[in-house]
Amino acid sequence: MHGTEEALRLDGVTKRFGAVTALHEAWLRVADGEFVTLLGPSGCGKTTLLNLIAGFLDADRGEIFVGGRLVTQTPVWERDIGLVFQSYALFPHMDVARNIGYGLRARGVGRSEAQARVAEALALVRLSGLADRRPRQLSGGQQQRVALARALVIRPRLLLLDEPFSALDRNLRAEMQVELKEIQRRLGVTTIFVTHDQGEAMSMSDRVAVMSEGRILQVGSPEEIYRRPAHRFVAGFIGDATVLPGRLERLDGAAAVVRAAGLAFTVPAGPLSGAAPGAAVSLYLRPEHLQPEGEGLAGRVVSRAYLGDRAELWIETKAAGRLLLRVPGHAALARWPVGAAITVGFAGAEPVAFPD
Amino acid sequence: MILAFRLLVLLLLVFVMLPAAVAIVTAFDSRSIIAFPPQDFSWRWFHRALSYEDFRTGFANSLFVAAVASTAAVVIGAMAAYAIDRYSFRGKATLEALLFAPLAIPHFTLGLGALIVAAQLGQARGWAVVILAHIVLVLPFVLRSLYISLRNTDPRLELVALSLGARPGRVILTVTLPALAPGIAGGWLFAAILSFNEFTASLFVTAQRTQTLPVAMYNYVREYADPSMAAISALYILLTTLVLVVANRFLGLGRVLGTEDARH
Repeated sequence: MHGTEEALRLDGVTKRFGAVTALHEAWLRVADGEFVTLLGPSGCGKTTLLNLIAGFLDADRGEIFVGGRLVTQTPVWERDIGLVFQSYALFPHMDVARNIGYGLRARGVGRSEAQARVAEALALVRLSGLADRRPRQLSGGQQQRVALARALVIRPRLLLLDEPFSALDRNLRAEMQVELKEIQRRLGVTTIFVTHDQGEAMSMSDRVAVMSEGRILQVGSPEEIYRRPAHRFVAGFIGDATVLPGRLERLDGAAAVVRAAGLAFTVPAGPLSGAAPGAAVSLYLRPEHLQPEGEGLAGRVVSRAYLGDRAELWIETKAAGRLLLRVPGHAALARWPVGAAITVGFAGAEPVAFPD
Repeated sequence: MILAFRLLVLLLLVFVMLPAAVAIVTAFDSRSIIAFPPQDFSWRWFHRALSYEDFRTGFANSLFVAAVASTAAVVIGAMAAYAIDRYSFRGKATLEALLFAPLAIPHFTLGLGALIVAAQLGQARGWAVVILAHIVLVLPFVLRSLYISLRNTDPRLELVALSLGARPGRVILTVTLPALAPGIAGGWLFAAILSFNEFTASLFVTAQRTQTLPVAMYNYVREYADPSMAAISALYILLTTLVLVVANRFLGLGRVLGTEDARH
């Protein structure tokens, strides 16, 4: 369903603040209609990148294209971008309808067409009855919907969302995520979403760009960045992982063999290219890939967190230290109290390894 | 306990209001001396005050000076406050310190300085020097009022407006100024009241032609000692109260004085 046309292209965009490089040569291509998330901890450069795309900052190097058009030097008001902030930033002196219609008035859209489009946008975010309200009379979720409608009504080439749900409580956030994703899919608007919340990134995105310290480390589908992280930061940042120290035994085409805790693990060779046999590596294991049975390491449950559908067990093993294991909740209650003996099996594991 | 507290508040109010109350009551005495308590009731001194030529021109002059000075102060203050709050530039701290400096300088010094400078420029005792002195005096209060409005305004409002296709000029007119309106209105009102009441600096920089009402009152008191002074004081209080009541009705005093969050 994605078009072949490029909605956004970043060619080596670099931004410095004094001596600090906030963004280091960002390269990114976003297809028409795609939902791409910039994910990373605070200070990783994701907001800087968003501000560069919007035009609030000037790039020191590199070029930015929106819809095939070079916009590196284009002022904000000519970039054709819809923007939603965490703080909503609704105009407090205007009612909901005037807030939404602001971009249309700025663009000189005729009165009757503007009215029709505002009504359409209100219906899109399910706020049709609230056109006359002031922002301060609305709940947080309603304000966020108005902000979204205001950004979408101008039919932007690009929708930029800066941590839009961070101020909402947990239930409302989940609801808004589903709703935003639905609207985005229906309109087919290319969306760049900035967040530090990996759950949000994984559940909503077509692709995720993981950022750290001013660099885009990996761009891929949620599955790719979770199952085949290309960088040890990505492996540690996305999802939970148990990290075991190990040694590279051999590189064998696309696969490599790593020995850790006395066992041999087959891992993708990509992240290890250049490492010599015998080199120290870190092995990342996902907790849901480990099994509380079969051949493996003997240990004891030292801590149990019951989460309803599942439980997290910390297992102390002689050979590998502490391992995190995720098992069905009811099974954990029945079989593995703290102190119980348990064997951790690696049969289903899909580990990855990175050189130290 | 609550009763004692109420009594304390009442005493404080009496203490604050007593001089004004005494002046107002005295104004209704028919005798030609300022004395308390009055012996009878009469409008005599109100007629005298309202018909006295120096008070009439002084009142008009004060209104004129207050209007021009506070308007100019708001324009200058809004630009300075915006620049100081939103941008970082060289000399920012110096500019801020300079703009707030009049708070620390006695009005007497400021008036004298303005007079000397004006005399050097051959402009002594014209309207310009009166208005300029008043602008400098009220600027810190205007700035404070605007700072509060600026701090309570999300800078992202302007960013969103720009992204929606509005050019900077349009953003200022449709987003920035309306968002700052309470601060601008409050700052203007504050400035106008301060300017209208200002005496010390005005004494130095005004001439017969440009004398403001407080200066006219001072000159009157030096020659006469009748209750028309009390009458004009009563009128002064009445006018200021009216202005504040109207301001409270339309703006909310808490917002104007910055004791309340402007967002609510």
